[in-house]
Formats: sequence, C-alpha cells, structure tokens
Amino acid sequence: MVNEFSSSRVFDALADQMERAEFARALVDEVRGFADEEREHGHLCGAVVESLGGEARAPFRVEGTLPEHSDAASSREAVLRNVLSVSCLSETVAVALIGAEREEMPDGPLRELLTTIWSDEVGHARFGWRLLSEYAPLLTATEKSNLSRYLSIALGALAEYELKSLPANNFVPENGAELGLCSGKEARELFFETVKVAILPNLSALGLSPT
Amino acid sequence: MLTDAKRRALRAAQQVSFVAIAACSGQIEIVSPLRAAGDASASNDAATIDAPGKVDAPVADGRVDAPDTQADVGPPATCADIKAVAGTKGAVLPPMSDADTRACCLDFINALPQDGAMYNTPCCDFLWDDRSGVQVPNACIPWGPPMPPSMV
Repeated sequence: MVNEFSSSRVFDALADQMERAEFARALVDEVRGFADEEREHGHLCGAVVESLGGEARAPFRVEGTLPEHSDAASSREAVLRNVLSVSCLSETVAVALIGAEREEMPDGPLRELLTTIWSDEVGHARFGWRLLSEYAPLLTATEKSNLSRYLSIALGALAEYELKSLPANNFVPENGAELGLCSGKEARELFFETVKVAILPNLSALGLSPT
Repeated sequence: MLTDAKRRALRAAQQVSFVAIAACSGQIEIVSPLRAAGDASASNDAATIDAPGKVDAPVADGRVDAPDTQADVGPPATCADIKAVAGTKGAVLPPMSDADTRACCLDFINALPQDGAMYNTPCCDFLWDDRSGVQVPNACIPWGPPMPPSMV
C-alpha cells in the first residue's frame, strides 16, 4: 500500500516531464492515468489489510524526485531514460513477480483483485516498450549510446531495490500463497530470469545494451 | 529451477516486451528472447525457458548480485555497537550471537520513525537473511516502480 502511493508520484512526475518535453497529449494522459491506477492499487491493498483485521494507516513515503537528466543529449532522451527505468525494467519485473503470485493464488476475491492490479502493471510495462520501440529508430547515435550507459545504472539500481525488498529466505507461512505471500528466494530467482530472458534481449533488439 | 507458475509468469513478462516490439517496429529485427539468451534451438515454449544463456550484463556477471549481508563472526559486541551502525547503508554489523543481534535489531527498527528509513539498513538485511532464522512473512514484493536513478 505504501509502495503504491509512492509509485503514483513516480508516474505523476513522469507525466509532468513528458509534458514539458512536448510529448503527445495522449501519451501524457496515459501516464497520468497510471498514477491514478497506482493510487487505486494502494486503496485496494489497504482494503485487504482492513478486511484481514489490520489498520490500513501508514505515513506517506517520500523517495526523492524524478531525475530530470540534464546531462542528456535531448529532452526526449531524458524522458526515455525514465521510461526505460520505470516501465521497461521495474514494471516488466512487476509483471513477472505479481503474475507468479497470482498463478499460485487460489480462485477467489483476492485473486480477482490481484488480477486487476496485474493487468494494470502489464499496461504500465507495455507503454514503455511501445514508446521505446517507436523512438528507437529515431534516436541519434549519441542518444542511443547514452541510453545504453544509463541502462547499466538503471539495472544496478533495480537489482539493489529488488534485493533489498525480497527476503533471501525461502520461508512461506502455512497457507501463505492464498494471501499472495511467496518465497523471497524464488522471487529473486524469477527477478533475475526476467532480466535475462525478457528484458535484456528485447532491449538489445532495440539497439540498447548495458555498457 | 523455476516452478511452473513462475515459468508462466516469466512468459507473461516476455510477452509484454516482445509483443510490443513486434507490433511497433517493422524496421527492427525481432529477436526471440530465448534465442537471444543463447540457446539457438529455443522457442517460446515455456519448457525451454530454463535453457542457460550467455548475457553480457551486470546482472549476469554478478556485478549486481545479492549483497553479502551476513555479519562476520568475531569477538562479542554490545547492543550499543549494533545500533551505532544499524541505520548506515553498507555498514557491517558488529558480531553478536544471532539471538542477541536479532533482539537489538528488532529494538532498533521498532524505534525508527515509520517512514521507510528502515530499508537498506544492515539490520533489515540481517533480519531478512535466512541464516538468522527469523521467520519474516514475505509480503514485501515491491509492486510499483521506484524513482529512477540519475546518471550523475
């Protein structure tokens, strides 16, 4: 829940950056919609907490600001760096991790709720891949080189973030899968597989490789 | 080895990226993720997903592999020693017994303001490490994206 609200700020800031970079209004609105979806996910997660007898109250977590990437060769490269990090990396990993939780969850209201969240995450990831594939043929050699260098940094940050959040142990409470709990160790394995077989090859197809 | 459920989830992630590229990039050579991962005979069949691949990337060569979060074994330390470094990212906890370290870390984390500052601390690493024997429910998968990093 806390994480979802924090992520809504990421998409709001990305939409602002895209607007300043004069991306098409429809694209900006789409990203703005992603922020709304993240907030809705936060509400849904909070509802689950409340229905299980907990209290869905937590301080808002502030995690820095969206980088403007003033060192980029162009405003579109600056935007694409953030899209690469947010959609093509983070959200594509989320599709795998949430998808696995969903796969292991029995039919019921909680699975329906998770399906809703998962489908939104698919949309967030696909947006990035679509945008990147549209712009890749238009990028200058400098922009492409810069994005490849940024990819290395973004991958490192993603790994650090995921590994800090995914416990290294293999402990799953009894009936934990029914609540979406998983083995952190297996989730780590899935994270690395997703990077290796889903993310990197498709970025390579777009001419982007970590350098 | 991934479970069947995780193989299906991985395939979904592949499709998210692969299908989008195929739909949008007529001039770009479409590379099968599995072929690009190094197995020339691979296809999109889930049964081949575990095929080993060669990937020149930080993740593949271990540069961004899991940090070693286990405290060294050495002379005893006090709880004050633990707390002195427990909130410092990258710090190594002074050696205590597992039970004592756990007690100190829980005490430290419970005293933290609930603003997420406990993330990235050595104490959290310790408590989440399976060698500490602590049973922490794994309901902490980060679903939403974090702020992207900067290059400078």
